[in-house]
Amino acid sequence: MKYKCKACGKTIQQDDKFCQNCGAPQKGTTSANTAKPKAMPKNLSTAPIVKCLALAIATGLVFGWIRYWIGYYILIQGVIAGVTISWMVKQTAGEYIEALANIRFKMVVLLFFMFMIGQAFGFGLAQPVFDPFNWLARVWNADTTESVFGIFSTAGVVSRTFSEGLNGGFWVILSLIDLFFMLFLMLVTMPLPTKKN
Amino acid sequence: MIKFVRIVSFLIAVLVTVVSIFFIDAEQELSEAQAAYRSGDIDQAIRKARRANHAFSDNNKKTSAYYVQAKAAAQMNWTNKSADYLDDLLRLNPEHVSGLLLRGEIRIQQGDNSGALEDINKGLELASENISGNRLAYALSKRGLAFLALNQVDNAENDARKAIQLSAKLPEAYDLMSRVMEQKGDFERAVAACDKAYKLLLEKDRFAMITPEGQQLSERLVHLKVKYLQSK
Repeated sequence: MKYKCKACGKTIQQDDKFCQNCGAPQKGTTSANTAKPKAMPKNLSTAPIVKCLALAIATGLVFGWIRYWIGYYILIQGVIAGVTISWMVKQTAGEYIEALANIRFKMVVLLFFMFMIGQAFGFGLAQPVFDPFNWLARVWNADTTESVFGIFSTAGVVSRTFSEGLNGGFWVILSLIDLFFMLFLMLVTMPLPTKKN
Repeated sequence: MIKFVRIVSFLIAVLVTVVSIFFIDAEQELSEAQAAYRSGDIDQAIRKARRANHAFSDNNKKTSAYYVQAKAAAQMNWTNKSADYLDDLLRLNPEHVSGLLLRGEIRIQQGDNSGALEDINKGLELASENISGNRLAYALSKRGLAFLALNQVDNAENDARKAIQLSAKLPEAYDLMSRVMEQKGDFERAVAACDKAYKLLLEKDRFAMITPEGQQLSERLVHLKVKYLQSK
């Protein structure tokens, strides 16, 4: 492949830093044969964002449904949901991945909220009567409990205290820890931009 | 290394979730559902009973789970859902006495008084002598309400009297009597019976005044007193 000096147009070697003819510095020499332009990241459109958000809602629906049937599974939800959503975003984004990576933080927050909405609906659909928000109020008021999956595998005071499940402020604190964990996982597993803007 | 840890954690999480979905100790779930119902955690009672129901293959055990589900749904005021569960229960065992009596009660709430009479009569017939005085009195109080709604005041009064005879401390029996007396226009006796029902309810539970039943009874008492004063 032949390269040409940008200043005088004479043929030069690919590795030449200066033109042998005119002495002009050569930075990013161009091929004599038309060099292919570098693939530029596509500008973000609404379609990939909507697709990713729909996936987050669908994941939330599944997780809400599971959460009703097996109970509150601390950290496991964070691990599976956090990693799965990021993975699905990577698979779905395709050519828009760079553009999505540039708005990574905003995207994670949006995905997180869509997941939460999906989860509430998934939980409600698993209930005998759709009632997720009143259920939240009942848990907060300690009128009911949410089972903690895996509590049987603990022993002593923890097992005795929480074998019936969780409710009230303690449930809120543990849920927040779980949600922060999930947010963190989503943030670290989302695609990073390949170059700084 | 980080990727490896991530994949392993993910697989473990999936495995734990799948195992917990498909491996349920149905007997334990049902006894936990009953315990939750007794302790007043109705959401958990329904959830655990439904889990047990999915896991049971024996119809007799399924009926027990359906019964807990129906009682709990009724407690949540999910009347239609409770009726659905009872329909499922009675499809599996059409001679389930508790199921029939409860469906009768639910049908009264739904306004299907003839259907309620049919269910309660069948339940009482099947129970014959294997029913405690209190339970029979409760069933008669409910049947009386259905009679009253169908304008069969004499039948309702008979049921109220029998219920009071069988269980002198049953608020529902006195409540029925007060409704019968109100229908007959005897407001003085209606007030006395309603007052007695309210006091018995408070004896059973001193916080009953803040429960829906307590509030309903106290409102009825006030309403009857006003009617009594107006009739004087």
